[in-house]
Amino acid sequence: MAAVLTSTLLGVRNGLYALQTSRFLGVAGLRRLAAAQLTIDESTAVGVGQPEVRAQRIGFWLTGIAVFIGWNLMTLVGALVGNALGDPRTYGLDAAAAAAFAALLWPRLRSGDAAATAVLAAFIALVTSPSLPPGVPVILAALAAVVVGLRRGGRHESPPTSRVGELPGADPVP
Amino acid sequence: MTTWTTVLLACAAAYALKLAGYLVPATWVEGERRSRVIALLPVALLAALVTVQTVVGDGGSLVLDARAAALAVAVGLLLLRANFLVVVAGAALAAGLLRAIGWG
Repeated sequence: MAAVLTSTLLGVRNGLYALQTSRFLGVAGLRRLAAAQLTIDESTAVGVGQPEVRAQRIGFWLTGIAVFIGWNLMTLVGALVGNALGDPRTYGLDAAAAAAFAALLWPRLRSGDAAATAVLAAFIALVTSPSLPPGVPVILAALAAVVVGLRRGGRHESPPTSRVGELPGADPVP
Repeated sequence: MTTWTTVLLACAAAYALKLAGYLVPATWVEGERRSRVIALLPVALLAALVTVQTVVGDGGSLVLDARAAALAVAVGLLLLRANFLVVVAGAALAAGLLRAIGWG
């Protein structure tokens, strides 16, 4: 039962992502059921990182489907060959995941509100991690969005602007 | 409880949470300030996730190891406006190399 509780705590953030992804996906019926299944860190990060709705939708679905297929395929491979691959940390794969999320978040941090939210969220996660169960610090970090978002006279978050010599929407995503 | 019951229960709870996010009545999330909060939610959660993945060790303790060094490399590459894949590969390489020489 403790395992179910832990995994559920880790899953709460997906429900919070859904509040935002549902806004740009505009899904109903079966598509909504599929979108819910694919609402994860990766698809959300790629989706919200895009400058306009069309790219957000494409980014969400492509990433969600790619991760779904890749994840299950690799789980099967792992189950079959298991220890033959050794510890993935040897290849720095754990660090690659964090770097990928940082890179996806990066373009949005040019907005003052988003940067303030990210710094506050990181701080909350940092100070609460030693004393709270896994999953809870990240959920608590959602308070950063509430604090910054509700601040009176808060600035509007402007959409990411493209740099000189870079095509709009040509953000490097997997 | 068998292992399968546990797994299926966890799956059901995870999916229900995600679906709940899609079924929240529109009136709850309308308005400028609520929209602003919801738009900032993924930023907050992902920033916290990166923090946890980078400096939180087993049992919630804070540790500075190869992961933190790799994230520093990633941020450096992002400041240099490196390509996404270069950032990811650079961080993995940094962590892998540091561990190969026995640090972190």
